[in-house]
Amino acid sequence: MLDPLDPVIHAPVRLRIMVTLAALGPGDDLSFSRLQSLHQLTAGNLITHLRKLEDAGYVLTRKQGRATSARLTEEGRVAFTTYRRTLRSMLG
Amino acid sequence: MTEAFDPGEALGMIEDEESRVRRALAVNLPVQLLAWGVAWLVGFLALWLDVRAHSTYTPPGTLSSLVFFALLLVAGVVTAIATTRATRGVGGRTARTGARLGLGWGVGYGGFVLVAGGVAVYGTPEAASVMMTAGAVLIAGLMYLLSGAVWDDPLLVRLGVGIIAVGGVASWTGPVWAPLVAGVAGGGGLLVAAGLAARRRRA
Repeated sequence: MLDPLDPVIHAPVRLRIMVTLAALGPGDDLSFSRLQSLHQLTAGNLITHLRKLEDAGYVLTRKQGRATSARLTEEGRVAFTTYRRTLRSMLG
Repeated sequence: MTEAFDPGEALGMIEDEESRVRRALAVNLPVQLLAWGVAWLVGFLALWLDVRAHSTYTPPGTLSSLVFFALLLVAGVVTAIATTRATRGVGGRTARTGARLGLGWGVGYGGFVLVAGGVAVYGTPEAASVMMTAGAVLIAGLMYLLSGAVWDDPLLVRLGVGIIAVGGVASWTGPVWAPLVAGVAGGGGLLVAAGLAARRRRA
């Protein structure tokens, strides 16, 4: 019996956000505006999806002055690895 | 992603996206090394052509020095653009490490200008010239070696070791030939490293 795919990650925009933050080095974060330009997202769209990832404990956002940055939590890294592993196991 | 969901396609998308993001966030090393390689090769050759034209040793004149420093300036601008373009918005450990290495280049050369000035005042023009050329090469080599150690990049480590060797050899060839050695071996080494880095980036 396969584990179901994590519904928090299993949405195109959120998956791309997770891929991007997972590609950063440990202890690194990425600004909201760079994340937006990397994936050509509107601010509203990005905020909505980041909030869902943050509510699940996968992403941590930090506001410094007017700039916001996001990074993957340990929990998020584990969830992303599990998601990939589940996809791979679906291929058999 | 629920209807007609294809896990193979999703995995492919993750991998494509991953390499696209990594490429966007990686500083373009080949372009930087190319800019410095050209600057060293042409700049040091200009200095050498100038000093070899005299029968007794005469330090490089205004024109060749201007060519040399203008080329270094262009390479510096290329480095700054390539770095900010890739690392814009990246914060945390990598950004701090990069800033500290940048500080190393700045402070290293700042200190070196003082040392070379002291040698120019208390030493002969020949000694000062050897110091300027070989010392500048040596510092660049050390910084490449350090960058390779910090970023875990064997190509930069090998480049650093090679450039340090060039600086050492150049100093023993004397004030006239040192710029030629620095230009051909140092600039050439940077160009070879640029080619290797470009091949690696494409792979």
